[in-house]
Amino acid sequence: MNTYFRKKTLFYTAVIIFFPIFFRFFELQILDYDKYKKLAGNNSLRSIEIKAPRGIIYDRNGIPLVDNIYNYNLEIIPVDIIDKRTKNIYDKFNFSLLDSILGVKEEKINSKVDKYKNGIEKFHPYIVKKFIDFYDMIMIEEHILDFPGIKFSEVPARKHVSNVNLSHVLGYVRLVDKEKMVKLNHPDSSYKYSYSDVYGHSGLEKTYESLLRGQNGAQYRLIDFRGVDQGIFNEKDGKDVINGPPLITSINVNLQHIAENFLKNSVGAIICMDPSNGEILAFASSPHFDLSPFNKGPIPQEIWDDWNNDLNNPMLNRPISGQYPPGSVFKLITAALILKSGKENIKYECNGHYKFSDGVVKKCWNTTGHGKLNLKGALINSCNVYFYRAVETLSFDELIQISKDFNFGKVVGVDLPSEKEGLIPTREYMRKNHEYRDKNGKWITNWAVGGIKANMAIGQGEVLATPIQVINSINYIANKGYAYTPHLVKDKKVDKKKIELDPYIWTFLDNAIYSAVKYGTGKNANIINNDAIIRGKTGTAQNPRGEDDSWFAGYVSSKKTLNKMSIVVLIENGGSGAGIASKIAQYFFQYFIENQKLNGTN
Amino acid sequence: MERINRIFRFNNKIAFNLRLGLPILFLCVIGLIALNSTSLDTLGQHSVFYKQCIWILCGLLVFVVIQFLRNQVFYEFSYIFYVVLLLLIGITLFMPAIKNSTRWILIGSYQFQPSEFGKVIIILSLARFIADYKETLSDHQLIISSIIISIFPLLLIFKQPDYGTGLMYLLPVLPMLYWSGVKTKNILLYLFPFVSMITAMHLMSYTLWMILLFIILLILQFKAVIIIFNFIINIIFGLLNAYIWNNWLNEYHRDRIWDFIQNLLNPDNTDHMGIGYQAFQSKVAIGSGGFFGKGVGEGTQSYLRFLPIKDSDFILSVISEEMGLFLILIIILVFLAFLYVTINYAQQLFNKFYSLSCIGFSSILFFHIIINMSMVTGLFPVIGLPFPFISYGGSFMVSCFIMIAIINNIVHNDL
Repeated sequence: MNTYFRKKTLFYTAVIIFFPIFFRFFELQILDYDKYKKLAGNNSLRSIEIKAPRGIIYDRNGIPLVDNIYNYNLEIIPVDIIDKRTKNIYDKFNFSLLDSILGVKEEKINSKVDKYKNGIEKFHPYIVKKFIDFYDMIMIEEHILDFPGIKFSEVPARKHVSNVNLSHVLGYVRLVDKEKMVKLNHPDSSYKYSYSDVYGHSGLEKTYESLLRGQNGAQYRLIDFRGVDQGIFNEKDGKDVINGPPLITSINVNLQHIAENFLKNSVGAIICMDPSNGEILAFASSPHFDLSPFNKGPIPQEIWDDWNNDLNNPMLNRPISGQYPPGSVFKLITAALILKSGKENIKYECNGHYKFSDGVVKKCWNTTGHGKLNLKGALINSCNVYFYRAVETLSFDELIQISKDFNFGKVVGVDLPSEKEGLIPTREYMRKNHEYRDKNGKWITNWAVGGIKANMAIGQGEVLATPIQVINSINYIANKGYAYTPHLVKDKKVDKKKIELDPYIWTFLDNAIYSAVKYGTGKNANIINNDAIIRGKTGTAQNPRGEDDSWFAGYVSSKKTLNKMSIVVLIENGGSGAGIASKIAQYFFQYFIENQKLNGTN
Repeated sequence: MERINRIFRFNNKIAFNLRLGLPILFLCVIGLIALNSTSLDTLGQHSVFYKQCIWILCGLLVFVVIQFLRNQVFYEFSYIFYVVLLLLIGITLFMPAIKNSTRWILIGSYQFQPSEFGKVIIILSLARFIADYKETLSDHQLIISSIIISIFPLLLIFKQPDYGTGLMYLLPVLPMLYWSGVKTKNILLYLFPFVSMITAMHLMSYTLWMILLFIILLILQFKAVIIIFNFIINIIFGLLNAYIWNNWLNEYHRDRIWDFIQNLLNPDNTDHMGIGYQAFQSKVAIGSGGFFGKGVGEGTQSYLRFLPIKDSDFILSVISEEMGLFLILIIILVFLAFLYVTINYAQQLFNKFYSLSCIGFSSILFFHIIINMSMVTGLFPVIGLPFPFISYGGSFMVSCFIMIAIINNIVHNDL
């Protein structure tokens, strides 16, 4: 092997190959040094995320409900705050002004600077004060020359701009923190959140989060060595922001305002809906919580504690999460079953009370009795005894089935989080709760014969319903057999649920609740107007909390325009349904007839 | 005991060859300095720095262990290792992907990259094969067989995909064949098709190359049959270019290569923000360093935001920025000194296997260095090759130490 020659060639080849590479380094570092120094030393490219503005939420007529605002974090960058010659904070730094405007003490800034003044850390911005509002920020910005090395970063927030509260509908947003970041950006999610993005935590903000958030964009910007922005590097390289599209809700602000006013001093719920498409026009829950603290960063713990300790529970979304005995309103469901069984013409005598086969005596609300009644009469007068007797001839399972058909005992599917199911007892439930050993040790299993089943027929006892379920059942009657899923977004396509019953049954129920308002318990809801047809059913529900709950559920239709609006009013401990609830409903009916356009059908 | 004695020999002459070791330790120290300055990232921790220290210690430990090996072991076990390597790389294909690539075998939380250790094994196997068959096979048979040996693991690695490492399996074949005494012109014959493939990116360059090739073939005085045959092969390889471009490479690699060509031809007017962002930022970092650099820890460019993989493949940009051309020059000179020493040893070694191993190891380190340097300066597409002893990375660090350890062992016990 002539290895000596090969050794030389191999080594010199290696040396020769290194030449162009070394020359390349030479070219970059010596020949083009000035160019790259300029690019790097003074100007640096930085990819900056541009937050997409969140979609603005409007009422059905385009009145804004929720808008975007910014809060500001005050940050310092140690490398810029330190005077290179003295190695201390610039003498001109105006600590007293900063203290008087923002209450940031000199020591706080000193300690941050001391901690991070060495190595690469000095290039980072460090937050000194969070959630400064726009006016304070502007005051500092006016004197920015007195504050070398400080900058403000924007923190998105929401501002509630209308005169209605709507807290349970709109909900609120929260900032993405470390913990939430992991949760939101799970591997399957196509969207990636970054720090200090906001996300919808409740209400519509949560339900329509994927729509409202839009998509953050990116921009490549030139940042000089002081961190001062020198503008966009190259327009075409960025990623465009996709603004969150506006969300037009079905809420009518005026109607909502009235509803909230009515509930100001009581505990309860009001929902107004358009039965012809399932849009919710007003949605009030009382007491509510105030959304304005959410405009200024995270809510202080004291406010949370106040809300959580309030006995009236303002955080409870009563229209969809409050579960109440529906009372006589539920008689409509029982009536549907009586009609289905063809027993509507059987008359029962009411003399004010009824003794069940197990010896229990239950009273009618009218203790002097209603006399002989058929179904229609019983509905008009809301006679309990009639239903006690009628239900004895009905099967328990069928009663459960028709309640389920009317969507009781399960969520109606409104587009808000945390809807509750209410309760329609099943056989298993009854067995668990109403079979017992009497004093002789005998196992009593005949819960179906006594007052328990009868209680169900009048919406008492085991039955629990949310106001949205009650208004949904009214929608079935108003549409004669179908109802759209209640929703809060205008023109949204939703499911249409049907109940297969004879058309005669629907007409009967419709007429019965018409008469109930005209001649019966719902008289207080009636208005004197040739155009309006009012229908409705009152309810006076006994409950363990105290005074009876006052219910009214019904709808108004216009003869001229055929527009309809359904309503449910629930006043906790409001007494008789014929009283306060009917009177509130009456006001809405009047308002509807006088302002037909509020349905937005034009 | 007998079995242990077959592998270990405790009366080996143990010495740390300073001429081999000092350049390596120098590179390690440079790497640690750079990592110490960059790894202070947003988390404010030196985690990468400490991990690298641990890897270097691991490397030194392995170095010491290898000094006790009976040096025939490298020869005897090279083929067995080769088979194990194929199996291990095969296994990685079934491992979950990290960053879209299945290079690693995951054992618990520990990642192990067999293709890095494969670099050692492939050299040993090639050295054994060439040493065994140089006298019995013709030049062409030898070249083709060697290529086949390195192409098996290479195909598997291409599947992962890890083109950088794949390249490293193939390139050392050249100097090793040359060292074994294969005629230069015969080796060139096998290089031409690859040149054809690259020039075929552009019709003009392809035509020029084909004319040039014809002239070269004539000058080298091959037989007419070989000239025609080779010419046809070259044309076919040129045409294959389009097929490979469309079917083997994915969108990402196509973009990278295309961007690289754009950048090279027209450096002032290209998109620095898309795929080429990294290469551009690397150039800015290097260029802004100047002759003496900005000082350790003062590199504003290498600061996290600008250089994405500053710890591993692009560590040289950090070094250039902070320590300047001055240190680059020193690194090159130090490595050339190392290269000179190893080639010298290779010449002095009487045993062909050991001699070829020395050449193989030094050339694989050489190829890593030149490709990494070209990559960070934008002379070569970004294919993800680390700089030996400087870049952060466990498997590669240890396998580099194994190479040095084997050379050290051979030099002390066989010279």
